Amino acid sequence: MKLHTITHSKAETVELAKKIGARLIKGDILTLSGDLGAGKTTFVTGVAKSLKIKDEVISPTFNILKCYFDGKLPLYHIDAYRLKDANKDIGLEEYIEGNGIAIVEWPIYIKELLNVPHLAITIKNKGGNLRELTFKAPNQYYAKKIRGIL
Amino acid sequence: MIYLLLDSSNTYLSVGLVKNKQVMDKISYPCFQRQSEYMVMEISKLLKRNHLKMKQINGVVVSIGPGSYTGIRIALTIAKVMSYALNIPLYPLSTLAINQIIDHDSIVLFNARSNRSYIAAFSKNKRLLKDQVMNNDEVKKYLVQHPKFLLVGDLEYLKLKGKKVDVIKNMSLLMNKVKPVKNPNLVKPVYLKESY
Repeated sequence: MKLHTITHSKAETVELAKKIGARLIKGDILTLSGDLGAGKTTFVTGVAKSLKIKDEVISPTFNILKCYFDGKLPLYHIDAYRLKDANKDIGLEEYIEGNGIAIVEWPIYIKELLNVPHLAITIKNKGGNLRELTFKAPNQYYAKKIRGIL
Repeated sequence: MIYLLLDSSNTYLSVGLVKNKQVMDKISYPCFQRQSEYMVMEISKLLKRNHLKMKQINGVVVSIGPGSYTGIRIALTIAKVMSYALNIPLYPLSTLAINQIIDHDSIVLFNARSNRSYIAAFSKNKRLLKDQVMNNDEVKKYLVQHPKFLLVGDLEYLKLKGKKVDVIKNMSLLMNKVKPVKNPNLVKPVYLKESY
């Protein structure tokens, strides 16, 4: 299943992510694709809010992985950008298949670790504050996470 | 002789003290993915409440995997630093071995992700199956073939229930069977998985 939607502001993207975040449970995996400034971190901020995480969400481009343990569930935020052409053998599978929700930015660089079903989200900058979000669900399980929201 | 025992190779953080072959004190609680934040602090706490100084430790015993990628590196790094700084011997133990049920038949399992498990089997203190990574379909077959074996580990991922063992007690018993490594600096974590 593939669905599109348009958001008109950062706040609207956060609200959308909050609604999806409220349906996520332990073991769920999301990937986020899109250029720099598309709004990937904004989306993660929304999911974090739905989990009642108080820490500020920042992109872990340098750290590769940032864990948030202060919410209803652990949130694992992975940014695989720096793993392009690098050793990927750093134990990320314990977070992707971990005790919480995993969100992976730049999933193309760790394809080997994403052979499990996940909700693939693409964000496109359509100019100004307009963003096009595409959701690709591989099965009924993930289709239910977005059905009725978009 | 006083030994410090460390394990952070899976969901728990465990530290223990052994004096004259007896466990004198231990701290053990679930701490998955956060052992790096707490292990050093717990060692200090344990030493302090037993009125011991770091310099009084005669050796360090540590589980080296297979298990959590980061987890096995936390305890081993601390153990190596202590071994180097205090010039004391280091005793490495298999994570699967220290989770066996001593004097029984047991199969120890941990989630290796991607539909695989770390597995080892023991029959009354003898090793039946060496530490290895096994596909979960194979694991299920192995379990059917060994119906009388007790299962150990956090087996929620297999929709099974495993027993929890006293890892520190087990380490205190198994450490007597191993020799200290010749060069602690060369000890490597045992990960068993192929590289990406």
